[in-house]
Amino acid sequence: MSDAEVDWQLAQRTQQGDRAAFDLLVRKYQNRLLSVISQYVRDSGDMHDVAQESFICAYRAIGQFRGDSAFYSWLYRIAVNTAKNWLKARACRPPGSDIDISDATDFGLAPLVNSDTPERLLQSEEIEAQIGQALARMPEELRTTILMREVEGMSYQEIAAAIDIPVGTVRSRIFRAREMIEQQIKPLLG
Amino acid sequence: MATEEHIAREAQLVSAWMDGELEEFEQRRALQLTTGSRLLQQQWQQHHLIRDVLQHHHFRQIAPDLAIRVSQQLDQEAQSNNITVPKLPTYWRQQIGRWAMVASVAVVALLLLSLRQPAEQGQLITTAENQAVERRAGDSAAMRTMAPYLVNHATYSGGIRAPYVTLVGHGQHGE
Repeated sequence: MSDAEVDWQLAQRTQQGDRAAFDLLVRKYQNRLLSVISQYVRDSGDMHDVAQESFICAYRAIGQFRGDSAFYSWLYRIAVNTAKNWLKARACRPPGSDIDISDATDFGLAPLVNSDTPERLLQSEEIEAQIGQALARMPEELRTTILMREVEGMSYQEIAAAIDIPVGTVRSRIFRAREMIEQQIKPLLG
Repeated sequence: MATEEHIAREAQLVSAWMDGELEEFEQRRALQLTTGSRLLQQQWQQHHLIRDVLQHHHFRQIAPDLAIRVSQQLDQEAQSNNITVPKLPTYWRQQIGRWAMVASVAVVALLLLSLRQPAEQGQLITTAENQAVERRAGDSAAMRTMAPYLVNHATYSGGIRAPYVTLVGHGQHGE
């Protein structure tokens, strides 16, 4: 069973009315979706609103998802459309303060290339740094196994064959590595 | 101690599930466990965050409470009945669609049948009436042809004429 199949399983459960299954999809993709939306929306609060609206739209339309494409591709399209609609709606609204005519052409148009505020970059960089530290601290065998899985995308069977250990050991090592990283980043997540 | 081990086993199951490394019966168990435990839901969320970072999905901001916000909004909308319940799976929609089609065809057929019946009945009545008129006309013609014979016959039959005449008349005119 691949990652896409896990998503399809969760989507099917949502179609049957299981809200908790949809909640798992939200938890899985919320950060990636925010990243997509941040290409279109400047303000942090607005970004969260658009992300929330995208997930609500996805929930309402989940019956139309047939699993022909990856769930994330489908969700991505919804998020981009929601962000574009949000921009259009904002463009129609009179601005709260006067804007200079030279800035008016840029008002609410086109994806924002560099929308990171220093605060947001710090948060993101901090998490990446903590994960790096956790990897550096963990035993070699755990680090190798988790990187083979997450970076190389190898299956448990492939990892087991590559480093000559039972599949059950691969499973437990990957879990332990994740636990160690989780402990490291927990304080940042609040 | 046993409880801790049990929790760790469940957590490991969920970890393998997010890697798509479970058999079907284990998947169902993992799904059931995760949807029913806030602790496992948090683990699921954070392990995916770790994956995103390791796979270089650059995110500019994390949203630890977004799932809660989405869930709350869905709850509110469900309470005020504004939310559309997710549509039925395609299979059931198709089945219901087919049955609806069959039912509507049957209704139309019954309707047409009920509209046709009185007309046909009327037609039958008219036909029967026409046949009776034709028969009467035929009877009269036959009677005229047979009159001399019948008169003669009546003479021979000793006055008992009517039933015999009728029988002969019908017998001659019938198929």
